[in-house]
Amino acid sequence: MIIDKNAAADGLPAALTLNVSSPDLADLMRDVLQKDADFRFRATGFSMSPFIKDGDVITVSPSHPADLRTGDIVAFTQAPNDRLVVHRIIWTGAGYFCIKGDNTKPQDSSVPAYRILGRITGIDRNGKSVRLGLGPERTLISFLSRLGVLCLLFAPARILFRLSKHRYSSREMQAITAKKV
Amino acid sequence: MNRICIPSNDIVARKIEGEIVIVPLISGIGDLEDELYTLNETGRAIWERLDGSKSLRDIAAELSSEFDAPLEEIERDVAGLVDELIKRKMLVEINRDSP
Repeated sequence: MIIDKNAAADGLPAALTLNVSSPDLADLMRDVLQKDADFRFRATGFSMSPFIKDGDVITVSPSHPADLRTGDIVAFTQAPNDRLVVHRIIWTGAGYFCIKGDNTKPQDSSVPAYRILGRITGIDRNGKSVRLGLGPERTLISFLSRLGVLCLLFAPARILFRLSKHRYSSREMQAITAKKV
Repeated sequence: MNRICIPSNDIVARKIEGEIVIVPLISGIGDLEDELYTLNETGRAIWERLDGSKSLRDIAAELSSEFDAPLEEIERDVAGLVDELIKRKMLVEINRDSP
């Protein structure tokens, strides 16, 4: 974690900008969801574009694995390093889920239910709520994603991502600003 | 200073790389885009001792001994921080007799 002290006018540290690692962010999310509260944070990356774009603020809600359906977008931790990932369920099995980014070619390996942290229930883009990809159309999106059709449609965005990969390869961190008490 | 305080149920606090990050759960949402708090070194030392077993006086005595600082000064720091955190609903006072 990198700590950047932002000095206030009087020279005292007024706030800290913390770059929190992906596993730490997942732990923080787990703690909040366990209190039956929602968790809002800023997403990074293009794997769910265009439904979730880089910089969108997403809301994760507590969800029991039995309540999750094909098409739902979920936050989960990916083995082996517990990296936090937000992708869509394209198939459900007994105690596990097949999950894939809308804009990625390979699907994530089967994700056991215990690795699911919560379900995405809100997307805010530039201060406005975006519902596309979270409503009834999500079943169709997951079907097309499974067939690999979305990948072809969104190829330009993926190419853009590859071109900027160097920029994003070091962004496994989430910057948050905390006020000093 | 005989008070015993513990973190409130309305927050999530997690130690991340040595910093204590406090996420208030406002209207049922822990919002990383909104108000987040962290504590300075003194605050961290106090927070880590707020486990429901020690009074503020006990905590001040421990810190005074650990940092070799005057007890009165430490008591003022502890009381000041605790009052501020109670005001922000991050801490709650518990009854000494409660189980």
